[in-house]
Amino acid sequence: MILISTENTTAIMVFAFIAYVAAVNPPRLRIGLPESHGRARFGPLLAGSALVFVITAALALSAEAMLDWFQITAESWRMASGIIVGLVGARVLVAPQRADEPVLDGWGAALVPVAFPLLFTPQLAALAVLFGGTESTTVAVGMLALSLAVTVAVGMMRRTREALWLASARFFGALLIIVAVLEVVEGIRDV
Amino acid sequence: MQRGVHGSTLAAPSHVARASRCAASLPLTVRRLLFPYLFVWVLGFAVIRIAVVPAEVCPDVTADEVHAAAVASADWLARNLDEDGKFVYGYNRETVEVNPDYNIVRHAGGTMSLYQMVLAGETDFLPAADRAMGYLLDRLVVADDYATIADHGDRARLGTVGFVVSSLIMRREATGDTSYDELMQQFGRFMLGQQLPDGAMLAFWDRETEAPSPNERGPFATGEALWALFELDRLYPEGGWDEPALLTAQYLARGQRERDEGYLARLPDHWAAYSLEAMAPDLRDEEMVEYARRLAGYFSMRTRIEAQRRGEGINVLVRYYPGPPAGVGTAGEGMAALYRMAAEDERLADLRPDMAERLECLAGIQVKSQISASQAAAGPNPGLTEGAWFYLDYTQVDGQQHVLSALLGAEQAMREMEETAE
Repeated sequence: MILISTENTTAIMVFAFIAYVAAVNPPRLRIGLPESHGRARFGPLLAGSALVFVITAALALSAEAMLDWFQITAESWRMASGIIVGLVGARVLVAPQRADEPVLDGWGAALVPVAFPLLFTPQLAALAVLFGGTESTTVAVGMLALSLAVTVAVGMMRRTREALWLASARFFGALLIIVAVLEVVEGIRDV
Repeated sequence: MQRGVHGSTLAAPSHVARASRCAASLPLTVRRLLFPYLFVWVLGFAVIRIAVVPAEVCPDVTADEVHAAAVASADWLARNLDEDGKFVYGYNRETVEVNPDYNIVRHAGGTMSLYQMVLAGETDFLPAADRAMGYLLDRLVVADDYATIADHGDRARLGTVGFVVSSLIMRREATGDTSYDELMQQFGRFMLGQQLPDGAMLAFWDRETEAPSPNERGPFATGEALWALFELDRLYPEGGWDEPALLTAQYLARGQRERDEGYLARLPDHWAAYSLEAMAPDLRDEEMVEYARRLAGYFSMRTRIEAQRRGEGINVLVRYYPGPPAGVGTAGEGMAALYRMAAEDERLADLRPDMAERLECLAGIQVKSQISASQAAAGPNPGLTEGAWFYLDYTQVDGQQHVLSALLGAEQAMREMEETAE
């Protein structure tokens, strides 16, 4: 856990960014987006991401108070979040493509499916609470914003090779499992 | 997206058609999508809450209450010591039976905890501690230039000797009595005789052959002896105890013991924590500091899990009953040793607030679960229950010993934190 336990702020930021991106899984989101004209997709994608950013940032900023209220130490939550993201990572590895679900048209797509169920997920919420409860606002919220920005950019890409997108989604699932293992081990070692 | 749509890039017949339908009927979409998801979220949250992170409840206690609990525990040890200096080994309050078994290493551990009380200023316990020490010294075996303790013709156990040395050094510090100085060094030479070239230590010594029993290890004997060796080094810096002690410390820190003895995970060895505390500061390199951090992590997790245990309802299924006092106590006393070590070692200073928090939490749990005088009076044999901790209606001498040691450490941490806050 050299990466997580380090006092090196840059390393912590990089780890948080990787964890958030793995949780959001941009290729999986892109697969789940309706195939429409670039401009038509951009608006809902941006709006949905902004909405998720607000909700998730609020979770991160209130994480300490929330963990206190639930009588959970940050160290125990680190292990719990590891378990959550590990389970999701395993599921993504097995099924990188989401099930066929109803979506809203036009700007409604910002809400369904972009914000929910694609972006606002248990793994993202778990990580936001973890980073909000253990790291600085720059790490918890700044890296969240950056990862969502990357997600918007990926969401605007054309989806030409289906197999490549599925493989990429699986790759991020595997990354999520690595994040999970690191978090659980760190949770065991945390005092 | 929506299987069947992904396959074709632009042609999205089913998807578009569905989107159009849904756009026309938002409530239906909400019902079909949000409600199942909401159900899964709520269910997932409930599972996580119940099974993974139950509330960690740490009862509020004051440092004075913690001290009083330690005294009550020492009272149990002193009260249940017979004329020969032998403790009541265990007691079952359900069957109202005393356990006739005995274990001399645990006897030595209980004795050591009484000396910890004496060193903490509770000198009234010195006669009881000395009586318990007398039981051990009655079994003294002196051979050549070393000495050991062997119970009733049994083999000598390394851990017993380790505790005897640590206890006698505490006694020396508390009373100034130097009459055991030579004996302590004889015990030290015995322990070195048990050491293997890689730093591992053999747990038994055979009285007949007057030699270590080969290939017999014990999970905690090494740490018990190591602590004593570092204490000897502290008392006699020129005695040459440091090099062999360091060798064994490296053996533990590198995880070789676990590999040799077939453990899959690193042992949360509280005696290793005591050893690191007693180790001379100039011997503590980064490897030792890292080992201390690792141990602190184990003790912390043990404490957090204990705080999650309610012992009732569905919590029993996921966390079982509150743990055996001996087990919980070891986490506390190990953490306390590292807390004291961190006071001298800047490299661990960042852990002190969290360590103090865990110690306070554990103390709260143990103070609240200790049998009070009124609870004891309500049942049979109050002398065997007052001041004790029970696990599934059974209490044992090492339960009192380990929790007592943990409480003394917690008390110190709590008082220091109170001073810092002021």
